[in-house]
Amino acid sequence: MSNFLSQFQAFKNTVNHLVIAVEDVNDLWPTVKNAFEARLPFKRASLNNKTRNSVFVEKLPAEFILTTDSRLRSRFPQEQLLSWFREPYATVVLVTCEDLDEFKTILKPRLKLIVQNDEREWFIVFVSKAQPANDQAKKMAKKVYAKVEVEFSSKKRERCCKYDMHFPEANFWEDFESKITECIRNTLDRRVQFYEDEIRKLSEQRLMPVWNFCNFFILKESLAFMFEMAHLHEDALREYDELELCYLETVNMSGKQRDFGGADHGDDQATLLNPGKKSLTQMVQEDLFREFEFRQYLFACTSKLLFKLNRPFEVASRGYSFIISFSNSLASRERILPFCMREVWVITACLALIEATISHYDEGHVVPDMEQEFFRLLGDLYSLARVKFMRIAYLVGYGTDIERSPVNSASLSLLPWPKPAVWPSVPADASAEVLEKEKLFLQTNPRTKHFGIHRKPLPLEPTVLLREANRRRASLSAGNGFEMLDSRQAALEGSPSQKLNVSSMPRANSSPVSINSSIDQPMRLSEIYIAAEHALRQTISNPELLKSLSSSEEFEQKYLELTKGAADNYHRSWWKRHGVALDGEIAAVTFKHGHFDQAAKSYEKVCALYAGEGWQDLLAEVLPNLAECQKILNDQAGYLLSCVRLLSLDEGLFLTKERQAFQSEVLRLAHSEMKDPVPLDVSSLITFSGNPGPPMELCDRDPGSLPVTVWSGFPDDITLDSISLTLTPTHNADEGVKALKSSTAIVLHPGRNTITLDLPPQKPGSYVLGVLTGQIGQLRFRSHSFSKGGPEDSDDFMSYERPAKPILKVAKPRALVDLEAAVSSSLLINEYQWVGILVRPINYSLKAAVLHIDPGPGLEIEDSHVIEMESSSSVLQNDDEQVQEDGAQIGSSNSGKRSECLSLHDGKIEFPSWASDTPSTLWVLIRAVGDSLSRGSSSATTRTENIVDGMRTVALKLEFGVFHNQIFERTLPVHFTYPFYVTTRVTDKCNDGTLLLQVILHSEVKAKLTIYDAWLNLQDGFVHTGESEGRPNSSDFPLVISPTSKAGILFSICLGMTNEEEATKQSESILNIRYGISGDRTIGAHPPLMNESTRVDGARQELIFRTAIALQRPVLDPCLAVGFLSLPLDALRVGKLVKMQWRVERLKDFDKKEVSEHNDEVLYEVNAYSGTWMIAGRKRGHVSLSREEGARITISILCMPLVAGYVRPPILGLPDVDDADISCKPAGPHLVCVLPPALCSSYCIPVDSRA
Amino acid sequence: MIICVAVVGHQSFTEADDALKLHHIVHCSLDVVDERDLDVRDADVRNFFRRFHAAYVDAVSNPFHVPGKKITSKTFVERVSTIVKSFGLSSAG
Repeated sequence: MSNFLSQFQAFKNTVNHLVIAVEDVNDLWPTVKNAFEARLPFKRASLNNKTRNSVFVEKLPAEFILTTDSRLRSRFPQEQLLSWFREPYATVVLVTCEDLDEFKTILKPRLKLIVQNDEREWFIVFVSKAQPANDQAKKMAKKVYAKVEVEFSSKKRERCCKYDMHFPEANFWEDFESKITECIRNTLDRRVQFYEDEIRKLSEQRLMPVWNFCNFFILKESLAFMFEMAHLHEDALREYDELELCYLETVNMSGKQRDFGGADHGDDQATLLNPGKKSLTQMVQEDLFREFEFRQYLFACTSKLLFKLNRPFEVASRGYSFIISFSNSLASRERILPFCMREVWVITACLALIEATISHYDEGHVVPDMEQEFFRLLGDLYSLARVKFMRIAYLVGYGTDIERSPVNSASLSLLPWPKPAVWPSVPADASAEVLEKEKLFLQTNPRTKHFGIHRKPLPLEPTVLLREANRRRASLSAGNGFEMLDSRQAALEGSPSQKLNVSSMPRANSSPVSINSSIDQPMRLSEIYIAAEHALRQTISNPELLKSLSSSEEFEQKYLELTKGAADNYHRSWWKRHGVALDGEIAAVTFKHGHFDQAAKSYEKVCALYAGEGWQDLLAEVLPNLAECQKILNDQAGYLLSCVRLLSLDEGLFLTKERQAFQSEVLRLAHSEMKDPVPLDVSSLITFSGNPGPPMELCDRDPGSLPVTVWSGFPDDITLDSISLTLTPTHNADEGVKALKSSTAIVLHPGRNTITLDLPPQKPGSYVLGVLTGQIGQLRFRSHSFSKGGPEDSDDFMSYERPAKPILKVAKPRALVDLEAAVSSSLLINEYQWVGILVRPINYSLKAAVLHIDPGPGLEIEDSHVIEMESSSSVLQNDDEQVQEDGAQIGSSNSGKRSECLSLHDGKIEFPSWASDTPSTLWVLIRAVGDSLSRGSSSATTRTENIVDGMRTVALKLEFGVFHNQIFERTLPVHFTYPFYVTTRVTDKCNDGTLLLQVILHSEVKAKLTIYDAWLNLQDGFVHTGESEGRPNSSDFPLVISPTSKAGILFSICLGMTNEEEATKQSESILNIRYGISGDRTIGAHPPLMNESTRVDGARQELIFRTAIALQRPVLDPCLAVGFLSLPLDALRVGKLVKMQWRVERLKDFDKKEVSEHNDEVLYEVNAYSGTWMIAGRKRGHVSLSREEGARITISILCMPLVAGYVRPPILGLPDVDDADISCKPAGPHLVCVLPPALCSSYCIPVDSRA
Repeated sequence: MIICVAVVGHQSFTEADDALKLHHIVHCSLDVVDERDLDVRDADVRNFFRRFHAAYVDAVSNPFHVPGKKITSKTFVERVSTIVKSFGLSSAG
């Protein structure tokens, strides 16, 4: 079998392209060779793939070989099966002939002989050597070629083409290539068919004992190779895939114990990309190949094809799975393989794969998604190599150089130890090395973390190596199968017994001691390292890898290279987290070498990732490292921020001692001489919120003090030198934020604190807390975050998402207090009267309020007198709102009505404390000064009241609020009046000339008035009658007048002689009334306050009221009365006669006028506008009227109205009599209504109802 | 395809000494979640979590299980792996 294999491989190695045979009949090849070979490779060949679909192959390489060539001649029939793929795929027959006879006799039979072999695909190229000038020769050649075509071409298939050596026809080469391609296609199809048939035959025997995988392999690979030569790579790839499947089935199926392979020197270096590393004969064993080599070989072939297809991504992806699955195969055979063979192989395989795929990778060639995935795979490969490399390094004692980070721990502690059959033992001559190793160990000190953070180091090993190694040795010495089984089981279950500690290790000693002392003695750790190192030197053939393990520096370099490779590639893929986590590992190394800025940059990235995604535990691991870098780099801002972030992490993540260390660092820096005071964001550490409950409410313009809850995340008390908190209005963004400041130092205890800030008056609206800023030493900190509410506040999870609630509401300006006059009715003018000012607080305290009182013109305040203040419960009860809100207050105010005497200082009154919340009335003594004398009027004229006369104003200004910041101003109108308003009329004129003058007194006040006396000082021209001296009957007094009622007093007077001098002196009469008043100040006018000195107890208080009355002597005395007699209703119509009547009556004698002849006759005249009236009868004439008093006569005139409408009626006048002597009684109308004329029936037209 | 399933309790991570590595593993697994989330159908994930939760409830209902401690039930492990495998199958289809 191996013979065939070597031949097969030899054949495979000799060719890598298709062969085209050239049958050179007429020795033409040397002349056409160059032209023919210039066509290679064929630009575009149409071939069929395995499924007989047409495929165009670009640049198909081929080679022309003469049939006489040794390569084509020395073929033995038995080789055909092995080498058929390299047989010619087409035969070109080159002929020329210029003579028909020659063709018939010589050429034709010879050609027939050549083409009789049916298996070959052939065609004839007739070469014409005729010179272009030689027409004869050309003609001949044409004739001969025609013959050739007749002879060899058929309708089905053209097998001839003519090549003009000197002037090739334009389409010759196209024709030539298509014919060659056709031949190749046909041959390929036939051979594919042949191989498939053979393969099928073999496959059917697979379960039989005669089955031989090698035969199957040769056929299958021949087919694959043929496809590869024809550039049908996809088909070739499929063949290899099938081959691999078949191989794995065969290997797993045959129960025979076979050699796995991998025991040769150099096998530790993966050959998964190099198919020629080992020849097939080196892999074969009996009828099958060794798995170790063969699977790598198959993968190498596959990857070669994939690279040819320009699919490095697929190589990487297939390669990664291959490495994993192959690694598992290696693991299951670990006992027969050299120590750590698996790890070493994986490392080399990964690195080889990475190198090959990157070199074949064209950037930007594939879609972005694919590219990302490619880099992810590279990252995975690097990462895998890295882990395995760390594992080996750990075994030889570089464990101390490996950072015990979560990344490394995660990959290493879950990775089982190698399981060799026997753990390598220390070579006899290695005791010096052991000693040195031990010394090295003693020198290395575990690095302590910054801030004195102490953590149990994360494990880098699945179990304690010491125990594992010794156990594996012991199990060998004891031949303890159970132990081995147990360990395997444990590994399979994936739960290595990590918790067992070293002290349980001596169990190995208890196993029976038998073979030799070097085995039965448990090895020390340094011995294990040395032993492993020696064993690995045996395993590893790659000098580079060996070098990487030779010293800790070399190890570190390789470690860094692999880590960087993984990180970079992950960064270029989607797997940012993997990349960033590895950045942390790189940072650890750079840190170790003192490249702190680099380390800080990387650590920052890592921290940002963990912080951004909320992985606090991981952050707690990395953040101290970053802080240390920053401290060394003297990056104060960064360092402070890191300390704050450390403090903000979950409390459980650090010990109190450690947290205190963080805080002391913050304080140390804050109080040190910082060059630039750094701003620091402590949002995560100091949070704040308003107090729970409803927001604080303030009235407009009121200051206050705002309590704020601040949570401190510091482990100890911390002193804030100053603090400032902004308030942001929620209603209006334009309005800037206001800052509340507290300049005194505030000590924050850990946890919840409540601080109180002074709040200056704010504009109306609601406010939320903005930013907390403050100062600790040189440090300016700010916090944006609202407290999420401590757990003691609420355990409501939803509260985390609640928007910041308003902390302060400043109400829109509203009335806080009301001042009004207690009494609306009028007070007495010119007397001391109490004016009541009702002070009503509206839900606002008037504590220590001050009232300024400024009397207006015409008003004076008796400021020497006390001012009374009393609570006014009556007002309180009227106020519904107050009643509902504060019942208790009402009760108290009802039960005890308080009052107090206050005094006025500089026009100001200070309120007593009891009046701060309850409505109260302030009684101020004032006097309105009125200079004018009250005037009476005649009852016939209507009274013209002038309100302004009696009105005075009091300007009030109330200062209240905590800082007297609230001011309320109001001007109160107060009405004053005289007690009476007097009207007069003459009730009767007696025949004896006595006039009865009635004086009517109207009460103007809401108080009972008592009149004790009244007398009239008459003006000139009037005199009193009788003895009463102008006083009415005294028995009428005292006369009591109820509020707003009237009373009358009669005076009897008569006309006296007129004295001109007197008349100018006294043109008006004066009425004097002595009266008393009894009223209540809460209602209106009341008895005026007397001076203490003049006051007599019990004496009735009498006041004088004086008013002027104008009396007029009578001037008119009519002697005739003319009355208009009413007209009948509807009497006035145009064109209709109507009778107008006037009655003339004699009222008295004309005793003064001496009219002799016309005494008994009266001249009358009717006046009417001639356009509206037609008078029928005498317009003017004399009528007789008796001279006796009471004589009457009626004058009738017929009139006819001429126009309709309101018209003036005719008027009767008496031209001889003075107007003053005529009284019109009843008076005629000014206008009368004249109706239009009645309808004339002759003009009537019947009205149609529908019209 | 599911690469890793972690049952994370409130305290279960902090219980072990080397819990950090588990934090790391789960954190890095999010890369896979980020990458794959577009491929996964919503219904599949829902179904997966429903079954997963049922298995979890059964496991912690065991009277011998101390709440908050690591779940040690082998049945639970088996069930979870069955669920994981079936998820891979259904989403591949």
